[in-house]
Amino acid sequence: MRSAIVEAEALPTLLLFEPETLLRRTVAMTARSMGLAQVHEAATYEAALQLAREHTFAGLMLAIDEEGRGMGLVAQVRDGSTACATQMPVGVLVSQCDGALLDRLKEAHVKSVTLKPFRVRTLLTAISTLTGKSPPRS
Amino acid sequence: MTPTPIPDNDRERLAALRELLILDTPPEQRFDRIVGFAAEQFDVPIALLSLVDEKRQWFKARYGLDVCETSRDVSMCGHAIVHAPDFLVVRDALADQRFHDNPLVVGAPFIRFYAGAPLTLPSGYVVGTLCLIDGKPRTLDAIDMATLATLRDIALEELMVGRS
Repeated sequence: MRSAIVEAEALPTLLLFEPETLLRRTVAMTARSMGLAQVHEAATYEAALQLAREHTFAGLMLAIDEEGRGMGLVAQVRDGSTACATQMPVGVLVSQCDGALLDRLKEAHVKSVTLKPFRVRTLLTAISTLTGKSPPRS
Repeated sequence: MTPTPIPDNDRERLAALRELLILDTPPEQRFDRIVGFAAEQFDVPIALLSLVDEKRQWFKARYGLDVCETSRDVSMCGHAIVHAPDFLVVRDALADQRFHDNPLVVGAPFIRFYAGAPLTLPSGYVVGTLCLIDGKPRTLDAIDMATLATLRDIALEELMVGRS
């Protein structure tokens, strides 16, 4: 059943797929505490796919592995195979990005690309780009 | 140097710390991972999970520091635990009246910057800190503070694993 995840704080909801637990948890908890987004975490591609099929999100940030597997989820979002809006803002985390991958990301209308080493600060900024909420300056 | 303050509730605080049964236990990956991640994210040479015992501060996890404990009377974390719930941020220890002649500032590890996030148990007792140390002055902005608070919360969750 498709349903929107309703958050008491009325923050934009974002789906984050990142296998590295401490990075994922830190980003999710900090984004929440700073009022940037309510982040739903997925540790595996399968979990991310299931969440995207069952819930709507305001944005998606996902790791693309060496085989480019995360791109499958982006494709499913764009072709309407998930519960999310087909134009949902998407950001990706990649260890490296060559011209071919960059072309694929552009074709998929990916809004932000974050390269390793992943910094919490950089990811929070990317989340801010996806959700349109700015972090405090001071 | 300002002597490390002793909280009024220190006896009860120490009892709460000892009830954790964590003092002098071997290193654990779950804590080592947190301090390593903190050092990497903040680009600091030293990050510690410090527990303030009666006469010493003992490090359950340490990154970038060889010693496993130092005396409480020179401990910045000893100051941080009475600063709770606020973080203790010392931008430049040499310019801070409390620490300018502290042995850990004028000698190894030559601390200039210190940021300590208090580890406050659900009971309210502050048992230590997750802290960042640098050999050069620096500041933390709102994103840094929020990130440090998150890592502190994760460390606290790990401290409380298996406890009600």
